[in-house]
Amino acid sequence: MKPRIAILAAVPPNGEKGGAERFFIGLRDALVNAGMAAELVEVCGDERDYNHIQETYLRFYDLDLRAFDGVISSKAPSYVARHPNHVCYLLHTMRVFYDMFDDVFPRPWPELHEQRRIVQALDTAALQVPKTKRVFAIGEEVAARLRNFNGIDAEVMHHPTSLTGLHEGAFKYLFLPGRLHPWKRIDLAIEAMKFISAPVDLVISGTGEDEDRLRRLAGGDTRIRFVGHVDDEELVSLYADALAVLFTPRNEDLGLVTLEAFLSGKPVITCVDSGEPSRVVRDEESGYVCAPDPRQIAPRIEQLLQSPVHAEAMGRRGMASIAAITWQRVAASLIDALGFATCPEFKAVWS
Amino acid sequence: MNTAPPKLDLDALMERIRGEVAARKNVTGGIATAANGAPTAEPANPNPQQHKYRTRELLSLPDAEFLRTAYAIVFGHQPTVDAFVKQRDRLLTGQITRARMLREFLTDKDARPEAQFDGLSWQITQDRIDNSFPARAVRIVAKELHNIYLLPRRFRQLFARVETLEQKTVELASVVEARTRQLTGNFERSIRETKTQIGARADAMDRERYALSARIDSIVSRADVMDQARYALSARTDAIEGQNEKRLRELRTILTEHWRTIVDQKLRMEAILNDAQSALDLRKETPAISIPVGESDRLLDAFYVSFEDRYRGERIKIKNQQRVYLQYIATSVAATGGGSVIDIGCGRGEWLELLAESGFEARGFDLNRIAVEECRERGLDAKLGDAVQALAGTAENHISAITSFHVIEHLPFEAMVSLIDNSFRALRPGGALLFETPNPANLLVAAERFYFDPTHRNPLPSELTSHLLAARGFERVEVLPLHPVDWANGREYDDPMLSFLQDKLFGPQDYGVIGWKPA
Repeated sequence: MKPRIAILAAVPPNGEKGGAERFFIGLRDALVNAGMAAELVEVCGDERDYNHIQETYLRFYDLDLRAFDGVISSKAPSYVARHPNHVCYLLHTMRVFYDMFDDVFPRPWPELHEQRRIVQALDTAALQVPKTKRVFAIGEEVAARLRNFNGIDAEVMHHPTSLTGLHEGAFKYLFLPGRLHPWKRIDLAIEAMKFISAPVDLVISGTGEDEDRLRRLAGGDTRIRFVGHVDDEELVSLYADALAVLFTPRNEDLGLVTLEAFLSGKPVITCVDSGEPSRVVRDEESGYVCAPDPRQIAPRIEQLLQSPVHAEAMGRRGMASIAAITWQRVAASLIDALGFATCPEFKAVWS
Repeated sequence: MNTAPPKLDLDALMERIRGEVAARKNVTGGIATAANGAPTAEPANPNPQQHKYRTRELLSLPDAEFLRTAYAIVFGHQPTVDAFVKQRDRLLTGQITRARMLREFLTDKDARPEAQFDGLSWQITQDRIDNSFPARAVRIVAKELHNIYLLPRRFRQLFARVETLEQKTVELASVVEARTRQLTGNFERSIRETKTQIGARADAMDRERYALSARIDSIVSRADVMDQARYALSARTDAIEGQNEKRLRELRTILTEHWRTIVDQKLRMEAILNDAQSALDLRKETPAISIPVGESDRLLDAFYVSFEDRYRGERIKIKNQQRVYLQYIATSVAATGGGSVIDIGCGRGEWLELLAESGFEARGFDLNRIAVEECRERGLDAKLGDAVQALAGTAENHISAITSFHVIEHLPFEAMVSLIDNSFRALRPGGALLFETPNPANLLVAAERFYFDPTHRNPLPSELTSHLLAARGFERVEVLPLHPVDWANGREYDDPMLSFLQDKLFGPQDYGVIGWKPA
């Protein structure tokens, strides 16, 4: 009989689908393709305040998972669920209680400190052996945070995008996809445009709380276009015809944008403090890793504008550099960690 | 938030959170989990109205749910965090079975009387049988048999794993190969690029080398030009030097001629003076023409000074030679209570200068106007005049020391005696009289050098002068032989005749003689 694996998914209370949801589906499909009976166990992950966070922790803790042979947790706080055969492929812990604490709470009140302490203690306790047999992290950024804050060593394992049909098209405009959130620092790209006189478009897709501010910042620059929410098909074609992809977030955990850009054969311009993208992108080889300063970013864009052939070569190198990041590999590693690699049903499919 | 959560105990931390959430929601029996369609079992929600529970149901729950449900049934409330941790640890460490724990709860004094569990006694009995030896033995044997039965399947699994690994290896090999190809490509490309760069660099260096060698050539040619210029210059310098020498010779000749002219003029003037004198003698009644008295004596002043310049020696050398006498001056000045020193025939004033530098009060006399002028220009106290007259005019017992260098050989014998006598009179008791004169014990001096000076009278042997001083009243008379010929002095000869001849030819060329006025 196929091993039955539960993928614990914390879903937003409003049912909104984001990057994490793509991840869950991609992981489930990969496990199913590898011969496992994998299913998503979706639990409401409400993080709007500490009370709701407490309840979310409790919801995962109280899950009855006895029907499953193995459990894969991922997003905070799904790893507090109890199962004797549990591995965690950590997307991220609740960053407001970790590296973003000082940013979100410039003047924290004492209770917040206590809450931070509790959350960190819970995570540390939950991710220990034997509660969790093994811990993987989606990137060096996440692993480092886990090491620094929780004293837990995780194995780094990048996962690919679930977006399909990515392909290389023309080299026309600068593209910047993603959630419009201050942490994504989209303003760096908009500011950089002020130092570029060439008639090149900057296409920004996605929606978010930072949208109004960013639109104001762009002002009357007709080259900067906000296209709002786009479906997968539109997203793929936006990637396909881009000259280069701009991705300059702060301390990004993985940044599928980088991988999607590379799969579309596009170079990526990112920043030294952008987290995982700054590790995935090789400076001057598959893109540019610059200082988080519009004045530093603008000349890089101009370089690519002057030589689209150069941009194409960089994009191809980027594509080659991430060839080893596949769902098959991710699935095989997790199946092995759960002890199912010896099952006759396991089909190792390597790309 | 008063009590710190037990460190790293997830269950205890979660129970605390459960307590806080429950308090917030005012619910006693835990909370319902909203799970978005997840297949969550909800065993932890006992119906408070139901008092009878099947023991088997309860025993199948996870530890935490078991404890919470049992507490709710038996005591009607949730366990405290401490109680929860304590009871859970007992179960975890195998101190107690769940069935026994249930019976323990039921016998607690706080237990609700209506709480009971179906089949609890049966369960406890079964636990006991399970733990008895025969039951354990049967279980162990059965387990082993089952393991043997499972062996073929395990082998199959093992083979499958080996196969998987082999497949992985093959795939890895292909990845490695692809990467190697890529790296080799990169490597070759970078070698090509490097080669091109090196070629370009080499070209640049060649160009630089050519430019440098051209510069070196130009520098060498410039050096050649400079060499030629130098040769020309040195030839010119030689020519100029030759011309200068020639000119110098001419100038010396002219100078000599002028000097001779002057001497000639002087001689003529002397003749005129003589003529005038005889004319005066002839016409005594007409004293209209007046010739300065003594003017004839001064006709050779200039000559004598120039002569001294030429033969007496350099000023600094003279002064160094005269230092030997300073100790006598110091002794005499001290013995006479600090009087002055008189130098007779002070000449160019070397000795006066040395005395002044050594802190002695000194006055010089000389008959040569030019010499006196020179001394005055040097700020020395020098007077034109005859020494004997000067001493005669000096008060008795007035002078500490009287010196006279190379003077007595110019004097007639009577004048010398008069000088000695006048000195004796003028000196204070304990004062010293010092003469220096050429030493005729040196044959070269006696036969030749003495006569360089035409105004010299007779050479004076030291025996004569010393005896004369003693005879005129001086005591402790001492002779200092001085100034042997430098280059010959100090040689040792075995032959006494050679030693004698060395002394006679190259021995002291001057001597000093010193006598003291009795105190």
